[in-house]
Amino acid sequence: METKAKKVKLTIDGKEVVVDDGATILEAARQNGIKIPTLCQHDALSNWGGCRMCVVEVDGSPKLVASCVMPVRDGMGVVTTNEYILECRRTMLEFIFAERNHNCMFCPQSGDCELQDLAYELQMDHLTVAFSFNKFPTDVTNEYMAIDHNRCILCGRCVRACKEIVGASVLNFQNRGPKSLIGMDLNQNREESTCHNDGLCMQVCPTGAMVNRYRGHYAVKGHSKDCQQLDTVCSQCGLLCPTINFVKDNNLLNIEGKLTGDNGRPDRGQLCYKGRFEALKNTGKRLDSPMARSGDGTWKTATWDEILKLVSEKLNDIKKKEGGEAMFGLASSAASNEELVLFRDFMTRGCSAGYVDTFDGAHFRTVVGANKEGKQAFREASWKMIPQADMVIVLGAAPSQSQPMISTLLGKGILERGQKVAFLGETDPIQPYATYYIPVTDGALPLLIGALKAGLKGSGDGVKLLEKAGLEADAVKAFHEVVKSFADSVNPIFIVGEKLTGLEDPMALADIVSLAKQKGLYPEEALRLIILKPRGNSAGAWKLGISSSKKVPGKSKWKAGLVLLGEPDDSNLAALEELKGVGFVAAISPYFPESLADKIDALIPKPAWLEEEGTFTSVDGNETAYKQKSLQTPVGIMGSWEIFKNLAERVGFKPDYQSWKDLSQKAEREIKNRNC
Amino acid sequence: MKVFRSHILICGGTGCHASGSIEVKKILLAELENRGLAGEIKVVETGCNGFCAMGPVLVVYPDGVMYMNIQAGDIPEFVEEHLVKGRVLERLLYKEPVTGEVIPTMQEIPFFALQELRVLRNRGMIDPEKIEEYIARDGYAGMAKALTEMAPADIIKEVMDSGLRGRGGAGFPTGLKWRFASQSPGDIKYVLCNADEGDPGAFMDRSVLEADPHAVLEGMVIAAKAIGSHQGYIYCRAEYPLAIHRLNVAIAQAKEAGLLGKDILGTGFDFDLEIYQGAGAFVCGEETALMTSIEGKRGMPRPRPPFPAIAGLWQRPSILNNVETLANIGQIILHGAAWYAGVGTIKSKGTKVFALTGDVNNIGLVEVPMGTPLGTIVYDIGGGIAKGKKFKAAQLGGPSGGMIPIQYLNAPVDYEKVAELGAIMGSGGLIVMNEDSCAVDMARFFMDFCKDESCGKCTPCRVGTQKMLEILTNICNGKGKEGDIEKLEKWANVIKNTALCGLGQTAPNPVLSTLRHFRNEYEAHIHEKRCPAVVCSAFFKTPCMHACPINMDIPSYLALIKADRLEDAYKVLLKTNPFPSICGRVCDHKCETKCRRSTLDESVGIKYLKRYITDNAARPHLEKMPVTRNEKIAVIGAGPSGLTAARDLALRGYAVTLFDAYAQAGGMLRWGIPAYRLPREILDREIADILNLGVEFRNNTRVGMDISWDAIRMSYDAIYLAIGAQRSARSGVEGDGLKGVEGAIEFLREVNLGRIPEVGKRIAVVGGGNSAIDAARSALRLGAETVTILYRRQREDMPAQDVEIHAAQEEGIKIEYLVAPVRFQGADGRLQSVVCQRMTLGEFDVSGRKKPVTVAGSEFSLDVDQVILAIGQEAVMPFDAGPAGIGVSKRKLIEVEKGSKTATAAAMVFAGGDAVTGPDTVVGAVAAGHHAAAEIDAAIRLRNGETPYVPAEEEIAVPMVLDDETQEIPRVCIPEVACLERIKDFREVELGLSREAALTEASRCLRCDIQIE
Repeated sequence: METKAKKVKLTIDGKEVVVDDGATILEAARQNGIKIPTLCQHDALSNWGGCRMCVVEVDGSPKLVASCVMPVRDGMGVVTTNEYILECRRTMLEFIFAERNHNCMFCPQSGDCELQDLAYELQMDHLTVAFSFNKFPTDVTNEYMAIDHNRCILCGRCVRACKEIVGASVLNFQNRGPKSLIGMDLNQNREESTCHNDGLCMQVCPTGAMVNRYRGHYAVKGHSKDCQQLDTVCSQCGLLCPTINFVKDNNLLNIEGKLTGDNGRPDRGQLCYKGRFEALKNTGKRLDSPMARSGDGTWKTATWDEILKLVSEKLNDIKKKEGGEAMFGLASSAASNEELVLFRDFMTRGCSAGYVDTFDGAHFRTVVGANKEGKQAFREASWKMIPQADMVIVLGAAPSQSQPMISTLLGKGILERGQKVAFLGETDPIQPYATYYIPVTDGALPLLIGALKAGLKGSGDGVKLLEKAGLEADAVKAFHEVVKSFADSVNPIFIVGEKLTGLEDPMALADIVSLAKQKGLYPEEALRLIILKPRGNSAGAWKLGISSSKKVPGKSKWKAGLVLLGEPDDSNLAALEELKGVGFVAAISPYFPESLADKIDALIPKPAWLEEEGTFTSVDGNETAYKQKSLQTPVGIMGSWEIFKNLAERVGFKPDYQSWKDLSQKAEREIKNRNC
Repeated sequence: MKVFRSHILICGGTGCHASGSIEVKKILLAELENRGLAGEIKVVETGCNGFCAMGPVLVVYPDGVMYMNIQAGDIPEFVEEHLVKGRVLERLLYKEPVTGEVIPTMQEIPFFALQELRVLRNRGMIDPEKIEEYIARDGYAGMAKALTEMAPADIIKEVMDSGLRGRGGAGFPTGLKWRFASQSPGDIKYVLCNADEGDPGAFMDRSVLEADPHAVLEGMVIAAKAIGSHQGYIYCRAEYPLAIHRLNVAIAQAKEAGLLGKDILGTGFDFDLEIYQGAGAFVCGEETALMTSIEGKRGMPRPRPPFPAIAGLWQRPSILNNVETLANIGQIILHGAAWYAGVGTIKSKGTKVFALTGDVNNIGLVEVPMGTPLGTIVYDIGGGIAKGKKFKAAQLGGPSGGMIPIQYLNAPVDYEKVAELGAIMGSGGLIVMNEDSCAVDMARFFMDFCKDESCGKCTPCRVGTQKMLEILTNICNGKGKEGDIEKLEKWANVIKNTALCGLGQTAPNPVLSTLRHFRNEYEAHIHEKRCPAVVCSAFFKTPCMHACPINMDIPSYLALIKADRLEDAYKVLLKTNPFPSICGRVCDHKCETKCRRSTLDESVGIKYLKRYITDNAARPHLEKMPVTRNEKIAVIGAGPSGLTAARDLALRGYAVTLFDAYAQAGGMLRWGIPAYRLPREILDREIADILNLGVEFRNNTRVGMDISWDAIRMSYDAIYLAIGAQRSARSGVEGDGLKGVEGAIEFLREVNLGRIPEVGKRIAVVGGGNSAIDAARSALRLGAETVTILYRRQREDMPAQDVEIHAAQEEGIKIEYLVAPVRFQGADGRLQSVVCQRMTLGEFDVSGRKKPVTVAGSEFSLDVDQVILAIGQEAVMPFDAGPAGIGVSKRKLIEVEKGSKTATAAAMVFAGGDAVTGPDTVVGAVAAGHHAAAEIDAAIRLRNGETPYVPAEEEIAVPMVLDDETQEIPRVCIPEVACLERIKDFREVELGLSREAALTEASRCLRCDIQIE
C-alpha cells in the first residue's frame, strides 16, 4: 500500500501553504514560488546552515532561523523578507565580501558567480565593512583545477560534495576562525593529495575559489547563463555518464555532471577527470579537408570528389583483382554504434573484406575464448551493482585510468561501508584505502587465479602457484585473507581488466567466470563479473560483431584496407603497426594521425566526437545511451552518414537503412539480442 | 582499622600541584618517617580544596587548622611546632587581607565559612582515588536508591522537582532534558558528560573531577537509568591529565565494585562509560559540536532541530550534562528534591560553583547558594580587591558572558538576574576586574578569544567576530572613528540573531555589556583619545602622565632630578602646572596609582619628588606679558582654576581681569587648606607669579553684589566662571541651627583668614573626606581637647587621603566609624551634645561601598561643644541662572555643554572647577583652568577666523638612560615634624626630601617613556 506523506500547513509571508512534513522552510518557500537567497545550500547536497544568508523570522523564535535547515511545523508563521532580515542578509554578504579577496573584476568566474549575483540582488553597491586584506594561499599544483582560497567563502559545498557524493572525503575544513581554510587530506596540495580529480567540488563551488584550468575565461567566451546547455552523455569509457555541455558560438566552454534528478546511477552525477577536463583539451591537429599522400610521401589536400574517388576506386580495384580476402577494415571502439554499423556493412558487404576487426579485437577473442570454455554465453553484471557488493576482486584492471568512476565508487565503498576490495595484478590499488593489494606481473595473473581457485577448493596446491608468482610472505598472507573474504562473502563481484583480457590464453578468465558462477547469478542470468573494456564503445563494437573472433591474419595477404579512427586519439595503438607496407590504406579520422602518416595513403576527415550524435553501449553491454551533438561540424567536413553513403554508392553497395534513425534502431536491435 | 592521632589533608589539585604540593607531600612524609611519626599521623592527598591562590594548602585534623602557601622548606618547622609541640605555626596561617587578622581554622576563614558545599562537599575531605572514602561519605547511595527503589519516571520527577538547571551555562531544566530523551524512541541512547571546560579562568569542572570523580559517575548512572541508556561518554579536554587520570581510576574502581558496567548492584541494569579526550577547541563545549567530535569528526556544531534528545550522538537520543550538574544528581536522589530546592531563588535552585579569579584577594573555587549577592562573593568570600584597588566589574560567563559593574554588587547571582544584567551564568567563571581594567580592552580581549575559537562554519561568527575585533583593536589603538560604536552595536545584534550556535550567538556579549555599562569609556577612547583606566598604551607615553589630569611630563622631570638638572626640571613642571610647589604638597597624585613600578614593589613617590624640585631649584624668572590682543576676558574666582585660566590667557596676550570676593587670591588653596599642609608663603609665591604676568586682580569684589553680572557681561568678550563650591552642605538633622554647629568650609576659612574662631573643648567633626580631616587637625591645633571624627562608614570607605587619616590619628584624633548624628542637643541655642546612632553595613551602593544602615536602639550621646559638618559642599551662584542662560543642575552645579569641557549654554560664558564637578582636587581645578583658557581662545579665534593657537615650547633635552637591572627598593618616606611638636601650631608637617633620598627615589622610575626600537 502506498503511504502518503503527512502534510503540514504553514504561513509564509502571509500566504498559507501546504507542504510535506519534514520539508525545510526553504523548500516550502521554493515550492510556492517564494525566493530566499542562499549560498551554502545546494540541492544535491545535505543542508549545512553555514552561510546564514537564508535567515527568516519564525513566530515565537527569539532569533532568526536559517530556513535551509529548519523543518516546517504545523501552524508555523514565517516571514522571509522585511527590513531587518534584509539588513542581516546584507551584513552577512558584506562580511563575506570583506573577509577575503572578492574583486569580481579580476576573477575568472566573474559573471558566473553566485556570490556576485547575490550582491546584485541585494543591491550591495558598496561595503561598510573594512576589507581584512588577509592573504591566503593559491594551489595551482594540479593540472585540471586551481584553488584560490582568497575567493573562498567557506560555504563547505565542496567538502560536502567530496564526502557525500564522491565519498572520498579528501576535502575538509582546517584551522579555526579567520584562518579557516578548505584543506585537502592533511594539508596537502591538490596534486599530492588523494584527490581523484573528479572536479565535483569545483562544479558546486559558488564562487571562483575552485576553477577549471582547461576552461576558457568566461569573461571572454561567455557566461554559463548565456550558453546553450546540452543534456547529453560522455562516451569516453563506457559508463555513459550524463553531462551538461555548455556551448556558446560553437565553443564548448564547460562540461558539468548532471547532479539534479535521481537517475538511478550510483555515481549520482559525478564526472571523472576524463569526462570533465580531458574533453576540453585540444586533441591534435584537426583534419579540415581530405588529404592524399603523393608519390614523394608528402601529404597534399584533395577535394572530396578526388578523395572519395581515390578510396573507392582503390578498394574496388583490389576487390576485383585480389578478391575480398586481400582487404581489411579496422575500426576504433570509440566510435558510435551507428558509425560502427556503417563501417561494418560497408566493409563486409560493400567491399567483401576478408577481415574486419576493432583495435581491441584481441580482448574480445580472449573473452569469447573464456566463454567457450564455459560452454555457455554469459551476460555481464551491470557496473551499477558495484556499490551493493560486499567484496570486490579487481583483477588486472586499472580502473582509475580506464573507467575512473569505478575507482571512485570502490573508494567510496571502502570508506563508507567497509566494502572489501582486493586488487590483484599490476593495477592501481587506490591507496591507501584498498583492503588488499597483491601486485603481480600480468604474466603471473593466471598463477594467482589458479591459486585462488585452489584456495577456494581448500586444496594446498595454491601455495606452489603463489611461490611461482613470486609473492612475498606478506603478500601470501594477504592472499589467504582474500580467499577467506571471498569465501565468506555473500555478494561478491569480480572486475577484470585489460591485463587479463589481454592474455592470449583465455583459461584464466574462464576460471574467473566459473568462480563467479559459484557465488550464484544476478537476475537475468548475469554473472558476478564486469569486464572493463579498452574503449568507450567496446561493448557496442563487440556486440555488433565487428571485433573479429578470428586472429589477425598475416599482413602479407593484405593489399588494401580502411581504418576508422575514433577519439580520443587512437592513432598510436599497437594494432596499427600491422598496416605498414600494405598496398593502400585509407583512414577516416577527425584528426591528422601523425603516427600513421607514413602508413596511410588517403585521409577522409570526419566529425569530432562532440560533433556527431550517436548511440553508445555501456561497458557491461547492458544499456545503450544516446549522445547528442554538441558542436557544429566545421564547414567542409562531411558527417559519417554522408561519407559512407558516398563510398557505398561509389562501390555500388546499397545498404538497407534509409536514415540515421533506421541505423540507430538496427544497431540497438542487434545489440539487445546478443551476448558476448 | 588502624587509627591515627592526626590526619593531614594536603591538596592535590592541579593548582596546588603546580605550586608545589607534590614536593611538600614528599618532604612531609620523609619528615614524619624521620621523626618516627609515620605510624601516628596519616597524610592524605585530596582533590582541589578550592583556595587555589593560597596553595599549597594543608589542613590538620582533628583540629582543622589550615596552613597556606606552605613550601617544602616549611615542613620541618611545621612538624616540630604543630605535630610535636602542639603549637600552631602562626606565620603560615590565613590573614584577612584588609584587617590583617590571623584566622587559624578553616571553618572560620570567611572564604570557607560563607560557602554552602553540595557539589564540592567532598573537596579536600577525601582521597579522590579511593572509592571507599567516597562511599563512606554516602557516595553511590543515591544511585543505589535510584536503581533499586525508583522507576525512571520517578527519577526524572525528582530531578524536575528539585529545580536543577544545567550548570553548563544555558540553565535548561535538567529534568526536562531527561524527560525528552526518555520519551524519545530508540533502543540505543547515550548519556554524555561535558567536561570540556574552555572558558579562560574557569576550573570548576576540573576541580570536581579531580576532587570527587565518583560523584560524576554516580550522576551519570542515575541519568542513564532515567533515560534508558547503557553507554556514556565523558568528553574531557586533554589538557586535564590529572582529571582524566582520576576519572580512569574511578571508573576502574567502580567497575571492580560492581557500581558500573554489567548488572550494576545486581539490579540487571547495565551502563558503561568511556572517556573521550577533546583536543581543546572551545566550540566543542557546544553540545552538537561535542557530539560531532565524539563521532570522530571535526568538532563543528550542527543545526538544531533535531535536538540531541531526538537525534544526538550518532543520531541517537542523547543527553549532555555538565560535570557540575551531574555531581548534584546523587545528592538530589538521596536527599530528595525538596532538600535540594531548599536553597536558591525562585527560579534558580541549589548552589552554584564559581571559579573566582582576577583582581580579587582570595582566588579559588567557591560554592554558594543561587542568589548570593555578587558583592558577598567578591568581598566577603573573595576578600575584596587586591592591593587596595577599587572593584570595577565582574566578568561572568567567560568570553561569551558579560560584565557586571560596581553598581550591581547587590544583584543576587542567579540565572534570571545575570541575564537581565547582560551577562550569562556560563559555567561559572567569575573574573573580578579592578579599576585598572579598561572595558574596551577587556571586550577586545574576549572578542579576540571568540574570533580564534570560531569553528569557521557560519558567516556571522567567523567574519563578524573578526570585524568587531578589528574595530575594537582600532579603538584601543587610538584609531577609533565616529560611527564605530554604532557599527559594533549593529553587528553585535546581527551576529547574536543569526549565528548558528551558542558560541557565535554569545560572542558579542562582552561588547554589548561593556557598551551598556561603560559606554563612556568607549566614547573617551574615540572622541577624547583617552583611556580612562590608563590601559590602552597607544594613548600615552606613560601611564602616570595619562593618569595626571594635566598630563605632567613626569618621567622627564624625574630623569632631570636624577641628572641633577633641577632648574630644567622646574621648567618642565611649569609647562603644564602653574602650581608645582602646591601640587608637590597637596596633590592627590593619581599618577602614583597607575605607576607601573607598583607592580614590582611600590609606586614612585612622584609627589615628593615634585616638591623636591621646587624646594631646591631656583625659581624660573617670569616676565610680565604684553597684551597683544583686543579681547578682554573676565575670570571670576581666583582659586586654582581661575588662576590657571588667567595665566594661560595672559600668556596668549589677552587682557585678563580676575575677580574675587576676598582680599587675597587663592580660593580653596588659601581658605580650604590649612597652613600645616600648605605654607602660606609657598602659596603666595606661586600666585604672585601669575598676577605678575599682568593679570588685573580685582579683590574684594563679589560679582552679583559689588559688580553686577550684566556689567561684566557687557564689558568682557568672554567670562570664565571658576567660582568653586564655597558653602558647606548642611546636615538637615534636628538642631542643625544651634550655635556651635557649623560647616567645615566656613570653619577653615575663618581659621585661614587669621580670624581665629572660637574653638570648643570637645569637638565632633562629621564626615570622612579631606575637609573633615583638615577641620579636625586645625581644631586640634587651635586648642581643642578632644576631637572626634564621626563617620558613617568604615575606614576603607573614607574618601580622605590615607596619609592624612593616618596623620590625624597619630595626632590623637579619634575616629568613630559606623556612627551618624541623629540630632544636636543644646540649651539656650547653644550646642551641648550630639546624639548619634550606630550604623551597620547593608547592601552595596552605586559606588561599590556598603551602605550604612542604622542599628535600631543604638543611640548614644556625645557631649560636645562644637560640631563641624564636613559632609559636602555647594556652589554659590553670582547670577540668576535663568536670565543668564546658564544651566544649573539639581546638585547646584553649573552644567557644561556636551562635546565641550567648559562651555556653558550662554554664549562666551565658560565654567570649570568645583562649581562644575563638585568638590574636586587642586589638579582637577588646574586642568579645568587649562581647558577653559584653550576653549575661550579657540572660540575667539574661531569667531575672528584666525588659525588655532599652538603654544611655543622650550625644548628641554631629557636624558634617556635606562638601568640595566631593576632591584626591589622600598619607596621613600618623607620626613615629618614629630607629632607632639606639630600639633602646637600650623607649621608645615611634611619636610622635604634630602638630595640623597630624592636621587634614590627618582632612580626608581622605570622610564616607561623610553621606547626601545
